[in-house]
Amino acid sequence: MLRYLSIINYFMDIKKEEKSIEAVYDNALEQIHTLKNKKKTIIRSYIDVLVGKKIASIKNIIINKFSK
Amino acid sequence: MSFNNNEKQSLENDLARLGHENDTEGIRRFVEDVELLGGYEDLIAMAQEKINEIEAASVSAQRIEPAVVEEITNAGGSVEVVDQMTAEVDAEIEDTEGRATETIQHQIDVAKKEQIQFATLETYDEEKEKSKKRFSEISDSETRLYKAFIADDTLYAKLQEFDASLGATAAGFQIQNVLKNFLRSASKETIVSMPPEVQKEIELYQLAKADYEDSVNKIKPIEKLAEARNSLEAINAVLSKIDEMKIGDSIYGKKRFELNELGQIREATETKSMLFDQVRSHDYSLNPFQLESTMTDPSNEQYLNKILTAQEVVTMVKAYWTKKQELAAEIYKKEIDTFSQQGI
Repeated sequence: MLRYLSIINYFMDIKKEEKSIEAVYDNALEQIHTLKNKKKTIIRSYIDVLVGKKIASIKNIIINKFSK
Repeated sequence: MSFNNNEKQSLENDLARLGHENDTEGIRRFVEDVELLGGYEDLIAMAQEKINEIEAASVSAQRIEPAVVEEITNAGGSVEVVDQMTAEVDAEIEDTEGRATETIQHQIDVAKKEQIQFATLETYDEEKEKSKKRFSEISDSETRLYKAFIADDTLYAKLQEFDASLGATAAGFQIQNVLKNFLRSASKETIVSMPPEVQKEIELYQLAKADYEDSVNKIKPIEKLAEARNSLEAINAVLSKIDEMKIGDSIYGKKRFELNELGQIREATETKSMLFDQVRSHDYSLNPFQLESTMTDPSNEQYLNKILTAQEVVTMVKAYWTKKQELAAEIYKKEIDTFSQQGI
């Protein structure tokens, strides 16, 4: 089995592979997390605009009602 | 996969045998080996889990929570508009997931390939040994068959004497070879007309032959991969021997040699033959022509017309074998790919 061991060492260090998988995994999750926050920000600003418009519209209705 | 089941079964058999033989040292080595194989399984399972987690994270990042959908609707907006606004981010999320899972999947494929390949090569080594043994069994069986056919010890001895007088160069005319050939290819009709002892030996010979052919057929598909592995191992062994080589003055003295303008080794001193002897005596599988081609390699141009120290020569020899190692590793990897594509 020692002969296989020498080739295994030559081609592939299992621990190194594990580290590499961990690194890809961590990096991907971090990127997805950042993108998720970016998406939340976009949605939040859309809602803010909608709410702003709604408030403005109500404000106009009130102003129009009381100005008459 | 059935292969893994076979491997598991074979490992269980090995362990049972070692236990039966009370071979504690063997069991200890067995545990080490199994642990080594197990490393791949753990790696594959772990990698698969990571892929699943990344996929789950990606899906949750792309989905809009029901509470947020409600908030959008209440505020007079539409999810379709949100989808348009966030299409770019969604694509990025998908892309990130795709790239990560692809990279990890690649690692899984590599690990799986390695796992199959090492287990297969191990089977090859066992089967190769078996086929060697079976080949010599055929030869023994043939001799027994021939002896049974002659059925007379005195005549047998005389015939052996006659064959020996012909010598190896006339092996084709030796009586034993002619008769063995006849017995090997005897038809069923001829066989049944022979004495029972001869018939029995023919039967045994045919069984030995079938066993041998079975072994050969088993190793045939792995032959190229095993050859590539063996070649790489041999080169690795040469390189480690070169590393162990003591090249101080104590071995070479202060003698030197040089290359002429054509890149040929010039016998400026007697060092050339000394070095070759040294290389040969260490069984580096390196002949003078190989060494010469190393030294006249265009990439070693810097050494032309230079007086070389023993250290420089060893460095060149090492470079030569390192190149061979790279090539052998490439061939080995190619064979692994071919082997994996063929399927087990």
